[in-house]
Amino acid sequence: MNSIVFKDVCKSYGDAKIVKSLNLEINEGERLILLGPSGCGKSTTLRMIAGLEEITSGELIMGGRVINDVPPGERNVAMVFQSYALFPHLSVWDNIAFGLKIQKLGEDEIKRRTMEALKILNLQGYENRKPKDLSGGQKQRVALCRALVKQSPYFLLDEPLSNLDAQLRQQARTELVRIHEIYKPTMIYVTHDQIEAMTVANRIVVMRDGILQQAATPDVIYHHPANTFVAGFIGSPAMNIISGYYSSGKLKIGDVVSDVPELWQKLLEGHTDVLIGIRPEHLKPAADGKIKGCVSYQENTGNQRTVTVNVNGETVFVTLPGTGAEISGNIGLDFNWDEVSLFNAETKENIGYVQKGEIVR
Amino acid sequence: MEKNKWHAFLFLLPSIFFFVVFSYWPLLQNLYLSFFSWNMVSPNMTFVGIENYTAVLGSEELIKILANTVVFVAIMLVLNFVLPYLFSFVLGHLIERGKGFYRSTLFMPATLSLAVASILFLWIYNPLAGPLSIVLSWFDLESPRWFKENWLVIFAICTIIGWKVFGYNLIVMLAAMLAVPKEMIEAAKLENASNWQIFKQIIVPMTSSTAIYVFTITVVFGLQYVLVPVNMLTQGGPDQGSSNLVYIIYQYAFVFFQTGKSAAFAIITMICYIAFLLFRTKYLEKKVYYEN
Amino acid sequence: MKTDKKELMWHIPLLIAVFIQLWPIVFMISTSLKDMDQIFQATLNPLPFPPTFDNYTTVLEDFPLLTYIYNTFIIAAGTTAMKVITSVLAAFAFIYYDFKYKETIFNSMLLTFFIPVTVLIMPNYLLMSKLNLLNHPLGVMLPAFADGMGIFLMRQTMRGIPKALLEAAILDGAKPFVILRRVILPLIKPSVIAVAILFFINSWNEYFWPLLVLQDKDMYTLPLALQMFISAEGGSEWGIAMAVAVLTSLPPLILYVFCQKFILNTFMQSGVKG
Repeated sequence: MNSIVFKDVCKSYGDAKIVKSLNLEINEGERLILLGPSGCGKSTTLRMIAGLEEITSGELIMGGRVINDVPPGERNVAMVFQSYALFPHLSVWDNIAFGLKIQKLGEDEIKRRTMEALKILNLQGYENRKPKDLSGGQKQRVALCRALVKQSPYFLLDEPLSNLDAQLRQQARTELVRIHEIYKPTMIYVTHDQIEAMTVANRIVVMRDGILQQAATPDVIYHHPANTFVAGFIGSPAMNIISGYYSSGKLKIGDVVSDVPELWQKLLEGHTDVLIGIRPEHLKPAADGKIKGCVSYQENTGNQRTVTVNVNGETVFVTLPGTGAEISGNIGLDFNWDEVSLFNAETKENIGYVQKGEIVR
Repeated sequence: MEKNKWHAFLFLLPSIFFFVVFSYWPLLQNLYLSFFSWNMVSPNMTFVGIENYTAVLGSEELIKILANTVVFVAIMLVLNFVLPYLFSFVLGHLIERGKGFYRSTLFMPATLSLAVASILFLWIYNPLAGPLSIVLSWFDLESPRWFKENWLVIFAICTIIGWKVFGYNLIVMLAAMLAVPKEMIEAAKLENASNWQIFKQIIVPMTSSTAIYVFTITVVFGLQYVLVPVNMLTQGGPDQGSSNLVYIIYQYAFVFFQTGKSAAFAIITMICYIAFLLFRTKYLEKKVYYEN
Repeated sequence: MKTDKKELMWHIPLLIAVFIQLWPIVFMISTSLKDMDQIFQATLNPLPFPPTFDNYTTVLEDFPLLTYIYNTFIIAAGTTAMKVITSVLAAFAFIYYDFKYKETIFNSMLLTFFIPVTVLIMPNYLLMSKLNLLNHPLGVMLPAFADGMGIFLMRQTMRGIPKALLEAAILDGAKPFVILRRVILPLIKPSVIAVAILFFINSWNEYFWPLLVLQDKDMYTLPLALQMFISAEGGSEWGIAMAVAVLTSLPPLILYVFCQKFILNTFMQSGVKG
């Protein structure tokens, strides 16, 4: 019932196309994350749902109703802004109750809901403070409270954690998921932080230049990115993209030629120039590996070593456990065919993968 | 951000109403009246075509009026543009102590009425017993009759305006001066730049947009401020020696009761103002480095 | 301490400027407290001894000064209230709505600020006489009910409010007028007060237009009343004239002394380009 459907939605300012023909279905109660670099149109997409941006063309359907022309105040959405947008002249209590008062709810109802929200976010005792007397984390929680108290079926968040320091951010992520579990609203969450996306989302939508790149579960996004952009955007360090050449059952990377297993031969049929995407943790040093390269730099963060390897002029990252034998000079690297992504070198699109002995394209 | 444009109009309506009725409509009415001969009370208005304009433009009076206007503007630019400019630099960047004191005392006259300033300076400039005449007598000088002598009267009136407006322009300039980052000045000082070099190469370019604003209001408002002392103290005299493009409009309407010529002067003055404002946007603002 | 010496040098021109700016005010006050003899014999002495309030009692007894004060106050307060309202409403339209020719409309409003007053006085005088408002406070006030500079200053302040605050209120279903009243106004209250003070002082000091509209001496405002004390040169009523001048200046000066920070900040903003 409380689903959101984008049908060919476009948004442009004059000649600048911000969102290009977006088709997307957001299910009731899901935690959907809009992810992408700045300027990719993710915030605009969120603001179109809120009604803060007009829709240039296409249809936006919320709860089964086309709401292109419904004013923001009548869409029954709750939103948390990046800057929190707390009213500086109002106390925490009045900030939280502001929307309810505008909606002219009964005094008892306002009181009950506000108290409940304060309790959920552990803000009891701060009711009379002004926003300027709160810490960053507290402000963020008041902003959440203000959205929560409306009990809207739609919960929109625009980079809600970007103003917090790393430690608080982790706590806040957990808290967000917990709160979502209480009411199960349809939650749309904009971020450019892939860790946030991976940890919070039921489903991630990756956008770039106004175009939807992939919409899938975090797991699929991580292991089977739809194209090299998604592959490069998720994971740190990012997925390595290595050029290779495929011809009649053999794969050639640099000077090294190796056999391709049968199932993957089928998958690669008709392809010659391919890009092989391998996560840094999936590369293992091996003298007779399918890749040869030269170690140029190493970083050790204690629990993990990141080794930079030069492979035919391309930079490849390998992550290894923090302790272990030193490696240097020319080395071989090996990978498992189950763990690679294959991309068309021209279109940069994913060719497909093998799952449980079946080819998935 | 809001779609309902009709609502925007509702919020604008009160302002639009007063501006149209009391600012824009009168401009048109001036244009209309400038083609008629009328004395403001008689029921008869005679259409005279462009006669008012030819009479006004051909008169010797116009030359006098224009010359006076130029002198007014020139003196006021020194007192209310150049001086505040320099003083705001001193106040903003060359001294550390007493900033607040200087700011509030120098601004004080700006809060007073020009009518007060006029009567006060009438007494100060009084040639027989006024304080200035006493000071001059210490040096064996006889006080001139400030408001009765050609040209001197313009200077005397400009000093009244200067006194009243200096502080305001200083504060506006000071805001721009303080917007120049201190680090920039300190960096220049490390390069051993003199104050004059700092002023010329950092301050002037970085404050130019405000400077142009102050320049504009000095000219545009200066001539209007002048109205009060002129009307209170000299009525344009001696022999139109203190009249100017702005005052003459009033004189023709309410002293000589020739609405046609008054309106013609109003139109001419308006054209001069618009020309000046266009000149400002076209030529001056192009050279501006914008602070924001 | 080399810099200290250098700085000292710059204090000299500043102190001279302070003297020039302050001395006439001190002189005005001290003259108003002198009797005739002191005025002419101790002209330059800033401390009248003994000070006399005769000049003040004379003006208060012989002239309807309280009426003038009342007239001036009514006109200044009325003008200020209306100007603040129209400016806030218009500025809100400019920051909240998007509409065609927004900049053009804004500029044409700001431009009215630069039209020389004498260009407008004759047509407006004729209009007031038609409306039978000559000699009426409303005749003085009406043309001043909207103010280009006020709209500019208010828009400038409102622009400083983060857009997200307004959007948050919009999402809560607040109507434009509610947003203006409950979100914007509380946030810009200090600026509104400052602009109001500015309007009040300007209106209080107004001379030219009231001079034309108010012909009856009973209707005069204080600046107009001052005109009556300008006798032919060599006139000797300086003490009384200065007393009226002081009374005229008192409200603006008091406002200035107590709200200095407000006033200076507003004036400082007025020059910054938008």
